Amino acid sequence: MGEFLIVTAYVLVAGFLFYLAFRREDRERKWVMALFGMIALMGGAVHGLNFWNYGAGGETFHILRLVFGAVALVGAFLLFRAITGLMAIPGLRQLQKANEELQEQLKERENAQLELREAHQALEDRVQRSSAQAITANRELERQIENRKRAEKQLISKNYELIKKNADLDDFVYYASRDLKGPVLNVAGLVEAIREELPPGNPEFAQLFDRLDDSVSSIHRKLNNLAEVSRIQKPVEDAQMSMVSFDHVLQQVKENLATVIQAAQAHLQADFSAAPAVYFSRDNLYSLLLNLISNSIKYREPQRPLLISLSTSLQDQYLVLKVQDNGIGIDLEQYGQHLFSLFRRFHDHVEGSGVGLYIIKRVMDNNRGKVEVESVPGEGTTFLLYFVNHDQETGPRI
Amino acid sequence: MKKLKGIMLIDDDDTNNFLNQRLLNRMQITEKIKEFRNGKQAFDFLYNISAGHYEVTSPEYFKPALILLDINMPVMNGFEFLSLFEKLDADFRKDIVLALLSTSEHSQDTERAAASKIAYITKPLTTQKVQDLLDAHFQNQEA
Repeated sequence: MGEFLIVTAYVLVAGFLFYLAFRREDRERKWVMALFGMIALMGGAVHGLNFWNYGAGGETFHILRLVFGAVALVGAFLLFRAITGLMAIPGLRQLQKANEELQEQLKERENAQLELREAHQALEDRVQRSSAQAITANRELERQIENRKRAEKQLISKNYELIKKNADLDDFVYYASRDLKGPVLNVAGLVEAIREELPPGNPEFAQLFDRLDDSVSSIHRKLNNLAEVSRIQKPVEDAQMSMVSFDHVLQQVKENLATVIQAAQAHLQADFSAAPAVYFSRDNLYSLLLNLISNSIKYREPQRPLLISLSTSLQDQYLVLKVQDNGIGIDLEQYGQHLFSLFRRFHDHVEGSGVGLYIIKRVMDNNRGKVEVESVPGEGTTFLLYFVNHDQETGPRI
Repeated sequence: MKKLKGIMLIDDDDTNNFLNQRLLNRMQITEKIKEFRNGKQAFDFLYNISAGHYEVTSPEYFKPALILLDINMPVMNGFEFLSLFEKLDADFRKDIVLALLSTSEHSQDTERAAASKIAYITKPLTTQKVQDLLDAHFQNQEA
């Protein structure tokens, strides 16, 4: 009876163990449970044999017991082998601890993640803020550009207006001077006719006619100056440009001014060897020399003989014409800034119209050149005219 | 010197015509001087003469030997007159001398006159200028 109970217990235990082994998920324990189950089963089997054949001996019986015992022993041996594996299997406390640690790590990770998310949010906020700023700045810029464009457009149209007004003004001066010429000539003609019709020998009349003649010729001269100014305003056409010899033009000027040069006993000396010709409009070069030389004659120093020296030289990209006199000079500090203004005069002891230097400046400006003036009051004046040096048109120089 | 058959003065400026006529009269170079206020009046006159549409006995109608022509005029200016004049019969034109008379010294005007091969005189007209013109064009006609 005792045997029977033990067998039952063994088999039950083995059953439990096998069940457990079947249910366990980790391999280590499944294996261990299975081994225990096997040993228990073997134990149960031996006891079962004892119970079955109590007191009976026999060959088979012994062999079976031996086999069961051997199997149990093998199981025990295998168990021993598995011990190291079993040691590695953490205990519950260890597991709890590990679990806690894991939980903590998890928490930390969550915290880190939270921080990360916050940082990300902050970053995103910043990006959004700065992109909003960028958009505002961009809009501001666009507005400024729009404003500038508008201003530029206004400038262009203003500039166009100015150009048009300037052209109108030039036209006005030209047509006014042309249309007034006729009536002035008529007056002169009528004065002459009256003089012819009147009986001669009346000194009163003679004086009146002299004054009339003076006035009429003064109007006439002024109109001619105006016409000259309006002519100079217009840009020179390419067809009028050519290589012009300084010597030739100077000769022409000398012929035209022969009487005044003679009267003033002016001595002119010229040396154009450094640059004998310039690519320019002949009319304009004539106008330049005529105005410069007649200026020197007008503003000469009566105490000494007038000497006017003309020369050319090459300076960087310029061809420089120098016209120097020993006249009365001009106080540049006082008058310099108005020197080239239209209708400005700084002397009243001689006849003048106030257009000569203006014409010189305009001619040089129109041809992308420049004018410089040096003067010492009481000693003389030097004009330097800078012409653009058109080397390609100049050809070989002698 | 033989007197000219007649002179046409074409200018919109009355006083200028008056002064020129006075000058020419005093020079006694012609019996007949006629004034016109613009190119059209003058051309109509010339056209009628060239076509024979006129009273032969009338002293008002004559074929001129010399035409003094202003440039700037209303209705028809000097150059417009000139281009019409050049379309008239060449035979009719051959013994008429044309001279432009203007205040303008503008190269544009003088070049145009030179291109048409006609004299260009700047105002005012003087005895000397008239004499130069006569010497240049009427020397051969002296009998």
